[in-house]
Amino acid sequence: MTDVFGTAGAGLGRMPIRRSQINSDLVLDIVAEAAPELESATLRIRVLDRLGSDPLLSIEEDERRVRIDVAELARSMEIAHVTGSRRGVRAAFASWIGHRPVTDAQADATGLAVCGWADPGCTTIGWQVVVRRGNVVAVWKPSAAVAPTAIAVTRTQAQVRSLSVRVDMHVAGEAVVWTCTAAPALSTAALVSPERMLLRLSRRALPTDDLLVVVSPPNPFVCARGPVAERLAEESNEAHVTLAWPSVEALGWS
Amino acid sequence: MPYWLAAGERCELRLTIGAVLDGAATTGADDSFLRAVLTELALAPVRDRVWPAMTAVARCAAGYSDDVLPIRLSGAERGAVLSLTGLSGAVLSALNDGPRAL
Repeated sequence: MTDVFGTAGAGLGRMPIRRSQINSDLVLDIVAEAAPELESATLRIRVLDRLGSDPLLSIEEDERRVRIDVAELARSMEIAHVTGSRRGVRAAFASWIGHRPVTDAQADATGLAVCGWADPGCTTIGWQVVVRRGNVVAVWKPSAAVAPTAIAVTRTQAQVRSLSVRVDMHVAGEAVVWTCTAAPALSTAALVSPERMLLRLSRRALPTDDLLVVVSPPNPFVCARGPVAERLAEESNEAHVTLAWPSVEALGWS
Repeated sequence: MPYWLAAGERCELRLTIGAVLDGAATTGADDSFLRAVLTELALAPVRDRVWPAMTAVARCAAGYSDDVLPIRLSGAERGAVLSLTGLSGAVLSALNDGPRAL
């Protein structure tokens, strides 16, 4: 799993790898170079100079606005083990821009429904609307200006769109892994239609009764019968939930 | 704590256990433990597909090649495997070297 800079920083952080030094000047250089390519009709990237302080980076898109101290961004890249070359910082910046907040209009126009963690402790999951931006899958948080009815419409449309996400089945012994190869974080889009999943399993002559689903957003997920699913889940150190089939059909929004 | 087996070693173990369960070979091992080992052999690549970072970090730290995966066996399951005849030195060595941290 990668972080907002597209590195495996969190996982590799356990290893004694020396961090690159990334200074504000290099980040400012990369912003000036990359911004024209990353900007769009709605997305505006600017550097705001401040007297006596480090410059601020401003990202504006529709109702969303992000401001961050450039020095803080450089420090975050160092902590995430971004490679200190121009290429490394440019890739990290593009990934960070990809993780910017999703606007209400984007969610409404292109949102997909996938499962995500509903609490900081990663103990329960629920549906969330996401937008795919290249390799990045960014989560939508409705702005304060959106009416509840509009939120409901966006969510429903996202679930309908999720039916079109290609999620492949990989049979491994008594377990079936469901993966969206193009973007693994979209794998749980398949759970929008449990009925269709059962149909696909039965077409392959695979068991469809007493199934449990092991879900670990944003990773691919697994279907298996009780003891096999339990063995899979018990031996994992990473956050996951094991759901009985009826719970899948009753998942709420997170 | 898992045992680390390469793809060829896992395949050899799967085929050997399969032959025993099909009745083509004999052993004193309890079939239920051997079936559990087959399940584990199938689940190892599943874990790697769902949680690739977890294994990749440990594999990188230990210097294992990409096809080496952690296999988690109980004492009884390991005992059932070690009672099989005809296993290669590589498989026996992986199981006798003891489990290594993930």
